[in-house]
Amino acid sequence: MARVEVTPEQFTLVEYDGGVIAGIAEELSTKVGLPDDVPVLIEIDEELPLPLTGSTADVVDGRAVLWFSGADFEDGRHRAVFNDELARAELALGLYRASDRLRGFVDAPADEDLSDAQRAAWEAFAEGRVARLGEYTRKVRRQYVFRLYNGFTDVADDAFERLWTADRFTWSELDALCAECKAADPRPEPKQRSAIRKETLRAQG
Amino acid sequence: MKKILPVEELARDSRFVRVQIQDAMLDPRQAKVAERNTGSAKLQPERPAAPDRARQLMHGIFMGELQALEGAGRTTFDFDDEDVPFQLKLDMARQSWDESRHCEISVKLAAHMGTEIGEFSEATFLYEAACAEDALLRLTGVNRALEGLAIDVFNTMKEFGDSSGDPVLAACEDWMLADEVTHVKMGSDWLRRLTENDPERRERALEFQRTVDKLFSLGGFRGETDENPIQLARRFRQMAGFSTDEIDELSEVTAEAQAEAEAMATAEQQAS
Repeated sequence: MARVEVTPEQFTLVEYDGGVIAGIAEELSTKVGLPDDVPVLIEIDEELPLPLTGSTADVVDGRAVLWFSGADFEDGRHRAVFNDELARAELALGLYRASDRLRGFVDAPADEDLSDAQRAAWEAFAEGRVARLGEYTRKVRRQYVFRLYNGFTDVADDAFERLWTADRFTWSELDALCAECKAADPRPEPKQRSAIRKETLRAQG
Repeated sequence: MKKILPVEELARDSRFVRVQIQDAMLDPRQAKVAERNTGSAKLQPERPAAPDRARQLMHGIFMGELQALEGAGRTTFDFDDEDVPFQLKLDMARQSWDESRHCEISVKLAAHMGTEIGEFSEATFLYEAACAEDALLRLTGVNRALEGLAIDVFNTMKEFGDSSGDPVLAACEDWMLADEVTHVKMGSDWLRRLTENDPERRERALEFQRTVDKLFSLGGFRGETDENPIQLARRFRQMAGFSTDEIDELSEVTAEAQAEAEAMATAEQQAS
């Protein structure tokens, strides 16, 4: 079982428990196939409320380093309250993406350097696998995110289904799929990347 | 059937959880977020967390439509013919039909974006503004202030649909926006007709509208700068019977609301 460390240990702005989160992450690490000798560091930014969701998943010096907005685990109906189903899905998704970086995605850029289209595609690939683990997932929400960044086109919808149902993909295949979507997308180039960036937000935090 | 139905008695099933809007505004995380450099607050695809921001706003629109339906329906029923002209009640009945259609559209749009009914909490401030005992206050508080806010919100969502290339969102918001302009114009027209010979009553009603407008600018939620997620839709407000002076005044009210919210957040932070 992978060793998991959660930061912060004590939450002051939200009703989250670091021990509970670590326990879920340990259980899911095994399920997603993360090697036991890969430590998992999870940082949660409790200052970000819904709807300011966002996450990153990298492998740094042999460790899986996951960052989450606190909003990712927040119950939309009860302010600052932990939602177990959402947290499990988000943690599994992050762990899958970190695990990917040890296999077919070794050459993928660091999370902060991904385009929104690439990130959306990778998350679709990961969440599809989370669904097959039997965890709670939100396919239509994920497809909406995918469409926002890869186009509201038939080509993008077909690409989404391929990602959602796939068990194997490589970074180059995923990147090529995004390029297919882009070629079919009539929209102009996006002005900038969108997702919550921990480094950007930390700058004045 | 009971007249003037209190907010506590609105029919809701177990999917809906109510919150007080003050709780959200006083959430200490809001002050922390305000300190950060997150760039323009306008709802655009390249903004941080744009998909979930849009989903939450869409759910808020659905809740607003539901309460607008309840409010217009109550105004049709709560007043007798000697209280208000029958034609006004007919207008409210027509508005109820529009709002019920908007509810259906909003539910489908929310589903299109991957949002379930009740996924986010419900604030009932719109219906609360629709409970005034004076029909004229309902026309200014609801039709001119809150339906006016709906114009701003729908226009913002339509622009988000346009900029994100989402043809479903853009088309639906455009259709609903057209109805909202009509609802606001109803309020503007009835305000003038009912107070034609009573300037004091008109001023009281407009004062109520200013209070509601300030409350619903939600500490910078709406305005005309990049710091405001919801943009004041001047052109559509003019179509709905607002004069340029009235729009300028509203713009000032929204700026005041933002300044007050910032001062409140600073005070909260200094106290903690």
